[in-house]
Amino acid sequence: MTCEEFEELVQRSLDGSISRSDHARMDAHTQICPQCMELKRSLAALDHDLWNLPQPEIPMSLMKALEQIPASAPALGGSLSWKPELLRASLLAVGGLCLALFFDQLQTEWRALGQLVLGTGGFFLFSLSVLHPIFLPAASGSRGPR
Amino acid sequence: MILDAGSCRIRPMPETDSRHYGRPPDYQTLVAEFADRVYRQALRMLGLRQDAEDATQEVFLKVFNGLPRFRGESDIGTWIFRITFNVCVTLRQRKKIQSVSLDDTDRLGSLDPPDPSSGPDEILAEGERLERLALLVARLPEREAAAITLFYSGQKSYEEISRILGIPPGSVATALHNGRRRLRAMLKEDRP
Repeated sequence: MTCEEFEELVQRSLDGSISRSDHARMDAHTQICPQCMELKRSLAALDHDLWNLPQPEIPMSLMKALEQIPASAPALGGSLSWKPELLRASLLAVGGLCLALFFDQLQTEWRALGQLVLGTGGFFLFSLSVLHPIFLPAASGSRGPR
Repeated sequence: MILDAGSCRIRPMPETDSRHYGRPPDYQTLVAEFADRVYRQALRMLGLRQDAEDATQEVFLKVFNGLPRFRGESDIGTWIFRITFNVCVTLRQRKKIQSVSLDDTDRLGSLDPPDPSSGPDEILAEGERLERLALLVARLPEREAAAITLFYSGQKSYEEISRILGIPPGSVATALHNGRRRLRAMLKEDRP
C-alpha cells in the first residue's frame, strides 16, 4: 500500500465507508510508516473536532423577522405573490373578449372556422384561469400572515 | 442510531424530511423546522453572525415566494438547503470571502484530541479551538465548506448532499476529503 492509498482509506474511514479488511491493511501500513500514523492521528482529531463544533442558537429577533416575512413580503419589489392574480385577470379579460367575438360572429354569420377558433380559444383561456394549479386554493392557501 | 460497520462509529439518525412529500408545506411550519439549521449552515459558510442572519432572511424570503410553485415532488429540506447554498455562494462572492489554496497540504499538522479528564482551563481552550475551527470552515472554497457543514453539522448522507449541491456523490466525497486536507493545513498555519 502506498501512502496516497493510505490517505484515501483514512479519509473514507472518516466517512464511515471502508471494510474491516481495509482497516487491517491500514494498521499494517502504520506499523512501517510513522508519517502515515501521524496523518491518521491528526485527521482523526480534526474529525472529532468537526463533529463537536459549536451549534449556535438562532437569535430570537431573527426568528421573529422570519415569521413576519408573509406580512411584509407583498411590499417588497422582488415578491412574486401578485403575479398569479394579475395573470388570472388577464386570462379572464382575453377569454371574455374571445367569447364576445364568438357570439358576435354567430349573429353576423361569419365563417365557421373563425367561430371555431375563437370559441375554442375563449373556452381554453377560461378553463386555464379556473383550473390551473397556481390559482388553486391549496397552492395559495399556505401564503399570507396568520 | 446508525452503526457504521467499518469504523464502528455510532451516529445519530439523520433527520429526514420525507413527510413533506406530496402535500403543500406551510411557511410557518417550515420556519419552525428549518430556521435553526439554515442559520447554522449559513454561519458555517459565511463565518460572521450578521452575514448569517442576512442570508437566513434572504433564504426564507425565497422560500416564501417559491412555495406556491412547490409541488411536493421533491424533498422540501433538499430544496431549502439548496437555496441556502446558493444564497451563501452569492453573499460570499459579493463580500469576496477568500478561500485558501491546497498547496500546503503535504505538511503534517498536529491536532491533539481533548483529554477526557480536562479541567476548566482546558475546556475553555477547547472551546476557543473549536470556534477557530468553525471560522476556518468559512474560509474553505464554497463547495467544500458546504459539504463539511452538511456532513458534520447537518448529518446528511453523501446522497443527500449530492442532491443539495447538485453534484455527483463522488464529487461530494472529493469535496469532503479536500476540505479536511485543507483544514488540516490551515490549522497547522493557524497554530500559535
